[in-house]
Amino acid sequence: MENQTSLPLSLEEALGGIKRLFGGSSDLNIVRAEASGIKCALLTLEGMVSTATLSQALFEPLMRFKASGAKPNDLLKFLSSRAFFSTEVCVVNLYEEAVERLCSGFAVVLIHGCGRGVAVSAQGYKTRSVEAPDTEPNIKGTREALNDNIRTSMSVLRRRIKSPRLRFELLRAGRLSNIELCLVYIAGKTPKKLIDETRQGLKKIDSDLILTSGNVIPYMPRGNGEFFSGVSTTERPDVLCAKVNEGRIAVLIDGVPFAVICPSLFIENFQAVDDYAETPYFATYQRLIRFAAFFISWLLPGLYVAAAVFHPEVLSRSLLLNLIASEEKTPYPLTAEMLIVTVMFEILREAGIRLPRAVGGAVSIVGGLVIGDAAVTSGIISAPLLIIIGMTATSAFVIPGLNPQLTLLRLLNILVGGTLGFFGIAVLSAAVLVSACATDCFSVPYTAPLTPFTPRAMRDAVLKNRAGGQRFGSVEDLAGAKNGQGG
Amino acid sequence: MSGKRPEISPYQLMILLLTARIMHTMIFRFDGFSSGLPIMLGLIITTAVEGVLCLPAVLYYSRGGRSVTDDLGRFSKPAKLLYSAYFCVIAGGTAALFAQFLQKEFSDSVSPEAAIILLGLVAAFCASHGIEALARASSVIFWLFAVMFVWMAAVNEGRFDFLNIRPLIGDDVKTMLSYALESLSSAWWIPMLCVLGEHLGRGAAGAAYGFLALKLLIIETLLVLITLVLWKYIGVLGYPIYALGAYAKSGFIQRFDAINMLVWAINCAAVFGVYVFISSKPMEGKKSAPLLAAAVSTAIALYELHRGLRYNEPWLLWFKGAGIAVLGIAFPLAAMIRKNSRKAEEK
Repeated sequence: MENQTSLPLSLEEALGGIKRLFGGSSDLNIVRAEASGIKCALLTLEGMVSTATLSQALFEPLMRFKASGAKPNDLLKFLSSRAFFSTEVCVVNLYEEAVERLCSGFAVVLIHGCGRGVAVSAQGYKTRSVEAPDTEPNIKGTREALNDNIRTSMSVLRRRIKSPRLRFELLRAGRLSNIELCLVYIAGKTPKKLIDETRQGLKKIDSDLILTSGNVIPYMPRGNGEFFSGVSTTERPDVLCAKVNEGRIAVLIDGVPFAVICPSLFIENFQAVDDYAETPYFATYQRLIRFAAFFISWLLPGLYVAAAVFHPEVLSRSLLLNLIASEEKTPYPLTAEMLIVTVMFEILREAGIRLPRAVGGAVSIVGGLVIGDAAVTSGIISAPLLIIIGMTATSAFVIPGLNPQLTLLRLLNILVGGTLGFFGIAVLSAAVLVSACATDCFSVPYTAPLTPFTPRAMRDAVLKNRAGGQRFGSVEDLAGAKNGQGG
Repeated sequence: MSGKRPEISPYQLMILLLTARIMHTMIFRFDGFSSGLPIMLGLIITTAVEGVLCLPAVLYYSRGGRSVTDDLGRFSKPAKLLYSAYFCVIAGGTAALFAQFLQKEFSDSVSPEAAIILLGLVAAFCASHGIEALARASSVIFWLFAVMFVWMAAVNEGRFDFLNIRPLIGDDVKTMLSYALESLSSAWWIPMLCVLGEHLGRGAAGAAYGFLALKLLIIETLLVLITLVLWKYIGVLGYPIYALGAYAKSGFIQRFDAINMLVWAINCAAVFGVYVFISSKPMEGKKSAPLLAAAVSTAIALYELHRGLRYNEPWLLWFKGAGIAVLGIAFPLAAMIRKNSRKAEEK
């Protein structure tokens, strides 16, 4: 194979080989030059290198190289060892190496009569600047999010943990994309076995492209979990730092502004960065509110339907009379009505996410005013039902991490509640509970420290302790984890 | 479980036993409730006797025993099958009695047959996730029950009436002994301990005696409430915990009947799952094992439902009692003797 062969002595032949490998791609730039009579060529990919870096780190030293009777190897030696003020310089011997460096934003200098080249790190592609986290906003925490550029993300993390124990380990994955992945962990805190398992797993990635965190998650350390997952993502560097400090491992993906973290716990969906900036009492109250929102979002529509259809004795008399009065006017059975409105809400939510921001507001107007108000006025949907959906939808936004699960559970609950009453909701809840309890990652139970109960970690689970910060020494200390007490 | 890390903690084992016992109390129906005091005394006697009966199992695991069935040598396989069959019947009976409860009190929402089949499917699903998941889930369910129990007791409409307590008379001794015997036949937590003990590291004694203490506390509290508060209502509704909820009322919830059933059904699914897990142990490792065990238990439940199973049927009391004697006492004793003699031979 051509891309496994060594670079030839002839510059023209080498350039021809590289051109063939790129198939005449328009973004391959070749600049021919001569230094002290030695022919050489500078290869770059359009938009991948910085002109300023190139002129400072490459052209200036190249022009200074003046040696009478110099041989090609002398130029190579000069370029690779003395000349460059670049972060990374290396000698390339193979076509494959040269191409890989070019694709990573290096400038490659090929020298006639040498059979080797020099790759200079001069990346200068345009990337997004460090912006505020979009999906995990906060009030008192940092306004910086992880970046699409893996190097920028690494620097954002390093600024928060200025210790040599914070380790970054670069790997490459993706048959075509050959994307950089970076393992992030703290030496001495993250179990070695977890690091090894993650490294081995990532090396097994056999996709052509890695475009989202979803391409990486299946290769994270093995765990159980069908409905819930012991692996999570974050775009917040402060959250990531806190989690690696608890002995977890994270994976940064070049081109993706989210880091994949494992193992993750159910309880973490109820914790926010702002909790650590508030007084313990208020933070505890906020967490309890989030728990309430979780149960409302999960159970309220199903319980409402089941109670109204099968168990009206549960509801207070005045509420029941109100319900009967408003339901009498609507044409559909309550269960169907609830399903229609829930699905409608999901459609509106999806539209709100996918639509451009400029027209996103129109969705709220259509949803809130046109559909909501008109549907109640025309008697298609009852007002109490819309209130229930409103409460549910608002509650669902409080716990974004569990949104996929809550959306499905809500629909299922309405179905079983409307057909089997509380009994249906009960058996479904039992199945969901057992499924959540069976979920783990790297043998750390997803439901810890609630069950199995770990008193020490509970200080920062539902209640927030005064000291704040670290919840426990390591996830391995949780009951039920590999090295902990059984169960 | 040599070389294996313990899957459940003593606390979790205690909770597993406790939720199974609570399920049993939930579906217990007082037919002809006479007086609370003899039953309360009967329960104390039963608990004391159970404390003695569980000694072989507790000693076996406390002295380093790994698995009762494995230590029975060539009887290992038949023993596993016996445990499996026993818990299939227990699971079937539990589901049938729960379905009867649903039929009596919630006939509008679900047919008893559909309830049994659905419970069987969910139990198979739960059992397929293993004892760790079941133990963790049971811990949550237990606390859910505890909150509901305290809440219902706190907002109950009934009033304390000490006139409900009458001095013991001669006939009460008979009632006390008959209740003690009946309650003793429901001590299948001892065979459960024998099977689930192999998933435990240490602390079998703590789990067993912790369970006995908590069971005594919960049921005696319930009996105090029944005797002093719910005296009149029990005769109407039969189910003691249900009666506690039926006459509870808060500003938010008009009646607790359906809330009660919701918690019972969650507990029933989890406990059924534990029984199915135990029943599927002879086929351990096979993916279809929980489904097969659940299918057998469901079939038994459907049969019992159509036969009109009663809680206090004599054959059932004998069956449960014999199971406790053989699987809960004789087998761990034999396993312990065999293990000790093997050790002596090795020395």
